[in-house]
Amino acid sequence: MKKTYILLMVGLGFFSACQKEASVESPPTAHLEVRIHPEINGEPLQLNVPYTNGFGESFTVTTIKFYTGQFSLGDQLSGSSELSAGEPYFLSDLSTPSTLSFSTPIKPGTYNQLSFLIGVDSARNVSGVQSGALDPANGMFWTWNSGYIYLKMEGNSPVSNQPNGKFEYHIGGFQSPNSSIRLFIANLSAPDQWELAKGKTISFDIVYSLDNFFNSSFPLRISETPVCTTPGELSSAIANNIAAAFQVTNFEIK
Amino acid sequence: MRVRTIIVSLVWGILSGSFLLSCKKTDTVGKSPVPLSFPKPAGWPDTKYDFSQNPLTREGFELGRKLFFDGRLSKDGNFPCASCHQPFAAFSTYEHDLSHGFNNQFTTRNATALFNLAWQTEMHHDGGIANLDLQPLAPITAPNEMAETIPSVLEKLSADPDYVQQFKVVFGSPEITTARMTKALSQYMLMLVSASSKYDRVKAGKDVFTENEAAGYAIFLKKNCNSCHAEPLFTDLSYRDDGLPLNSSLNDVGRMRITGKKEDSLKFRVPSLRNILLTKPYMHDGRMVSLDAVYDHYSKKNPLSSVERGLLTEFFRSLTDSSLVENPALADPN
Repeated sequence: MKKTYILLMVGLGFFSACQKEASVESPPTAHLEVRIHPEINGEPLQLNVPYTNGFGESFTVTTIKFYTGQFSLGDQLSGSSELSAGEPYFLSDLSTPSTLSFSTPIKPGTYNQLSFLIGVDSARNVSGVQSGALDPANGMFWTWNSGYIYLKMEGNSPVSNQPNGKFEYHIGGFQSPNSSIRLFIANLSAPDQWELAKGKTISFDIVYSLDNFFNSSFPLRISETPVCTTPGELSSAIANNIAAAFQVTNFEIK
Repeated sequence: MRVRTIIVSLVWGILSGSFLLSCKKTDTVGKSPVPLSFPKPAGWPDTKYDFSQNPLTREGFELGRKLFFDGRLSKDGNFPCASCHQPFAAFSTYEHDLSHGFNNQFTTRNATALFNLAWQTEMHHDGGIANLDLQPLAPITAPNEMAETIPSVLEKLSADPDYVQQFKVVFGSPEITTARMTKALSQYMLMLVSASSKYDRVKAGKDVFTENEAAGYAIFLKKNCNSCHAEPLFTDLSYRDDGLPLNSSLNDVGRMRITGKKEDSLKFRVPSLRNILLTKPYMHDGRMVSLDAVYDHYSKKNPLSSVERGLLTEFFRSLTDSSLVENPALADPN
């Protein structure tokens, strides 16, 4: 029963890919699926539930939203890579679990590297009003200093010195030297390879670890730094933690 | 006398044009919009706006014009774009240092005069907005200006069958999206071209300066005003600190807020001097109520006699462009 279901899904994917490619020479007929799992202390992260971070600070999260995009599969040796052909960016919102999983068409091939951007490329930050996931109406855009907010995390903590114990991290910025765009790369260790045949889907389970968000290269204590809502050095430092928070934990091809 | 004839015939041309347009509208369903060419003045530098991504059309321009004057873009309906950018003040706020926004609030800067925007790559006093299409999002969502949200504006517009029809004609389908709304607004704002002042006619050999205007122009050049206020835009679009002390109640550090660089502290974009007699008070926060106050400020480094000030003002009067501020084709369509 389960098998039939999977076949049907693949069939549908194939059809929609055929429709789209009318004007494209070699259509991608495989898919790359991403399933993001926000976690803390090894448990699924839930909104409005009290947790404690690595510094012993208790907190609850009310909002987590972030952009990922430009998903690519590549080959470590040759350095070649294949950009997925669907939507360029995805907006994930913890309050809408369906946004944590998404799929995008990609060319079949033999790969051993996954890469994607955390954030939005600099060109799309400045070249007019974008649509889809990048529509400024989604509230992930700074209007007074043009640019996307790549990640929003908001919540409350008794150790925050802000009104109502608020903490608010709006991370973005594309200007050097404080760009907060991060390229995430996961390499499959040799000699393994992903053989992604026509009609197949490669799925990645990616954990977003809030432990790492608070405590990686930059120790982010809510008591010391409850707010970051502008591009700059701090934003860029937190972006390094965000990059470290993403970890590929599993993959499968079917 | 000759000049008057020209103006009258021009207005007639515009009126008859819009008459034709309104006749056409009744049967435009399914038809493609009529291309509109950008009126680039002879001898001016190349424009910077990417028209290829937003081709001008008559219907797109008219849609943008309607949006610009529509209070529904604000939370309580009272603050269309035009509430701070008034046509008769060269699209700045007439005689206001700071403008009024939602719920009896002030803005924090003097409303910029809007014209010749096709030559700008960065918007606002600090250049923080990287594209004309992105500019409307800032005042629409600022709590002290129009105080709205983008989804709410789109919802209000989508509930109006006239708008749905207009978006369909301009963009080929009836969806009203952020990108479409801002592109239409850009089409209107791009057409706010100020290049028909007396100064421009003199430069084109179609008019002559009075003696005083000519003397004022000579002083303008001799005092190197044009080192920042470069012709023909009368701004070099650079960011400069011209010695104004920080206003401690506004704490506006200007360009530094955007770049985060110390050397950009208190730098603001050089404004155009076109239509300057209509855009008082002056400076980014409107702290100078008159041209005299501005002359006093610059006299500290570059002394100006009272005669020179009078002549400069005569010259500046020649930069007033009635075809921008009194053009019925650019005015409130309602």
